[in-house]
Amino acid sequence: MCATCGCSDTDRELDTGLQPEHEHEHEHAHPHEHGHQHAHEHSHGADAPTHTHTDTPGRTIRLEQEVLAKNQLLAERNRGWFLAREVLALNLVSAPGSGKTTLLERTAHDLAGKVALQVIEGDQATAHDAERIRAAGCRAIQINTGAGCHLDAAMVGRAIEQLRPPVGSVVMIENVGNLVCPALFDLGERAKVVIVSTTEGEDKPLKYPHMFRASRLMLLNKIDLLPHLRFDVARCIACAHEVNPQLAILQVSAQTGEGMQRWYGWLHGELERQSVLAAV
Amino acid sequence: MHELSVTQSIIEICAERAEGAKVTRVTLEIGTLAAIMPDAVRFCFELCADGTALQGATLEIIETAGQELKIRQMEVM
Repeated sequence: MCATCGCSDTDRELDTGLQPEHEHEHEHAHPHEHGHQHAHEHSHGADAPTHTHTDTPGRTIRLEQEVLAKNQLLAERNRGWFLAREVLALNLVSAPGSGKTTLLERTAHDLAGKVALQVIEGDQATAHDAERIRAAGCRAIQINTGAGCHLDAAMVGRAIEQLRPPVGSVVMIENVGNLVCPALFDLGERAKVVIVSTTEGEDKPLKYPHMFRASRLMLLNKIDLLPHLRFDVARCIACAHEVNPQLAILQVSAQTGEGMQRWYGWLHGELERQSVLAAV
Repeated sequence: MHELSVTQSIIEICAERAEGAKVTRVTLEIGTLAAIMPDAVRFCFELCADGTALQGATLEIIETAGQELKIRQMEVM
């Protein structure tokens, strides 16, 4: 290889490259004002190029830009908005059918008069979930993502503008049922809560590790069905802790209400922490 | 398919930074832990680039070990 210019030259395997004494030809191209290029040749060595190249054929722009920076910025804006109003925002994520909406209906019903709760519902289509939540006596806004598979911070920002949650309230953001994409998009929530149900596989945390790693609390729902299923609770918990040793886990049944008090206890704790943080 | 919205963001960022110039090449860094499939980004790129300053641009993806999801650089002319 030619040490001066990097072109390959099989006749000179070892070239000290100190002086460009060698002579061979290179081909390169110049752009012209009329917008196309011509290739021509230069020799170097004794006959060094005599003309200068003023036109550069293209330029490289170093960006070093995080692709999700814009979402991150909007998420932080939402987070600041929530914090200033002592609003606890949680991002509820799960596979479709794990019982997120039922869990929220039950929570809205049980906490009515104690905690001001509102819900942002994300689904690809229909307002069914928002209607169910409203029927449970809770304010709800439906976001339809259309072809989208997740909510993003801009969507949530628009929803909170409409929702205007009061000081000290709780906003539950029910994400699109999907254990993959929502893990990537920060919405400005205080924590992600992942819901798994006993009708799913125990190894779900291992199959979708990103989501379980990103979450702070896991709710194992539908425990009322355990007598009818071959679901190994201990194995499921072990799988979850394998991908996220810090993950808190609560076993609940949104249907019967079993274990729900522990979930409300967790919510109260987070709500208190949010107002402490807001006061700092 | 979050790769679609991620790719759209990539196109938006590059087109904005190109300030009207034509983008001929884009170099991305995608980490194995970024939960983004490089193949899916390649699939979406051509589609999303159509009709933008990035139409016909070459996409180069450098696969890294961490959580990177970054546009390293681009070439414009």
